[in-house]
Amino acid sequence: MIDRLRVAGRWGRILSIVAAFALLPVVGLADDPCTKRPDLWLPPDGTPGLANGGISVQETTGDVCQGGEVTITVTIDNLSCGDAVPFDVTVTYDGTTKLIGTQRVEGGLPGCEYIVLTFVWDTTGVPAGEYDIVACADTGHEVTELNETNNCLTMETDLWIRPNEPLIEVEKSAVDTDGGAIYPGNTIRYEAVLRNEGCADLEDGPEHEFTDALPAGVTSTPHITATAGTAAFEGDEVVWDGSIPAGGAVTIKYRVTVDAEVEVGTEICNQGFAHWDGDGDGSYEGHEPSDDPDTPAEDDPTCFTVEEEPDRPAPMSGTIDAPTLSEWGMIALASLFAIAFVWRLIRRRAVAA
Amino acid sequence: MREVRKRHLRSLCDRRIWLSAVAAACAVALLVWIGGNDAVMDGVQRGLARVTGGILNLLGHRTVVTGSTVSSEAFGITVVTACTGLFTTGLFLIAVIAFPAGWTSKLIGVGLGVGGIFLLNVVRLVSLYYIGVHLPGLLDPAHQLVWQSVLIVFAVALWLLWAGRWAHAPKRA
Repeated sequence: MIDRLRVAGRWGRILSIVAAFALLPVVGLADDPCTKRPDLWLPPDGTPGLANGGISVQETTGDVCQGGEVTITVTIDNLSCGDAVPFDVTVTYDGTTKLIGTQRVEGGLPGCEYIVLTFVWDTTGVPAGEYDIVACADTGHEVTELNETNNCLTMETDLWIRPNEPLIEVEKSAVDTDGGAIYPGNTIRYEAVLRNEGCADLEDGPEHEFTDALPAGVTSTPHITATAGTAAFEGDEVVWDGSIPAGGAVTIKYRVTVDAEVEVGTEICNQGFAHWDGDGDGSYEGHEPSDDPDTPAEDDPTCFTVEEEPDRPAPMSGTIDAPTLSEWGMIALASLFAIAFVWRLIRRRAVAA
Repeated sequence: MREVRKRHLRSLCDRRIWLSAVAAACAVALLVWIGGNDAVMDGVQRGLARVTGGILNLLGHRTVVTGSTVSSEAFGITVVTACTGLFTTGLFLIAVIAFPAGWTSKLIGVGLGVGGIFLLNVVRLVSLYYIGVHLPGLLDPAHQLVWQSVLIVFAVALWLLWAGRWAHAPKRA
């Protein structure tokens, strides 16, 4: 009995040692530091799920006039549990060719943490235009990452740096006043919207600020209006004179009729032009052709195609040739009249007698 | 016997009878001329179409009158010569003019017949439009059976009304 107890005790010790060795890795791993490499990325603006419920902010303060300042906010997130060593964050414009600024994240970025950086871009000397803003993390390749391909982000909003002079954009559309397709003889309403997207007012100068030569196949009508300034037909040309404040717009509407003899299938196109004096020297060096907003192409003419007027559907028949009386109806009516006539005569004579 | 013959001959020579016959013949000739004159009939058809279209528009339909056609997206009626009620009116007028009565009475009869039959014809066209739009299957029976019967009964009844109420025997001279 005592021997059996000794053997059992010996097996118990052996099993407990085996169990301790088996559990050792599990217990030890719980306190072991992350063995993964870090992974820096720039989540798109508005991405939720960052540490502590954070949301990614990748944005700019918007369009500015030349020389103005743009504030760019960039969020860099470390996806992995591995810590990132110190690294540089660079923001560029015009692709990745022109530098806006570089900031160093001196403390690195611990795993599963994010950091928000702010850049201020002084646009003095930057040519007017529309620019992409690109932010990149670890441009010096100092951090060894799980994924090196997700370190850059092009911001969703293009930044528009407006010139410190007038810049006129023209959109011109053509609409059939009756709606639908355009047939010979129809009236077309052109609508030209002139927007001053520059940072200086467009002044009413000695020349026309907008002209639009009517194309062949249409004839002007007396209908022409403008929300500001003076619009008129000069022969076969629409001219407009006036001023537009910076950021303002003027709409010019004018009607033409499609000539009745225009062949079906003819495409009628034309373009208006805005003209302005950008540098104030008295000459109009700024010229901008109108754009058809209904097409994806830029600065393209406004066109419409003259279509064949469909035959009007014949009205449903049924009563079209329905006479008030058929032949038999006429015979019946005549007979009844004759009977009534005779009956009344006989009756009258009977009464008279 | 001689007296009876004399009276009969006198009645034959009565001017009023001959005048009535001449007037009735003129009415027939006028109707034949009107029926055969495209310009006049075209005007009558267009006028009837306009009146019908106007009433339908007043009743909330969007009809367009093109020439003598009243049409909408749903249905259309073309007023042709036979739709004008010319024959019905003509028979009525002949019966009025031929019937022995004073001229004032005959004028009343003419006005009653022309106006009454015209109005009924407009009602007929409007109702046929409604039937064509809402009950197209009943269109043929409606205009071939119902409306013909109604027109015949109406015209004869109107004449009998006139003959009984207004067509007094002319005073003998």
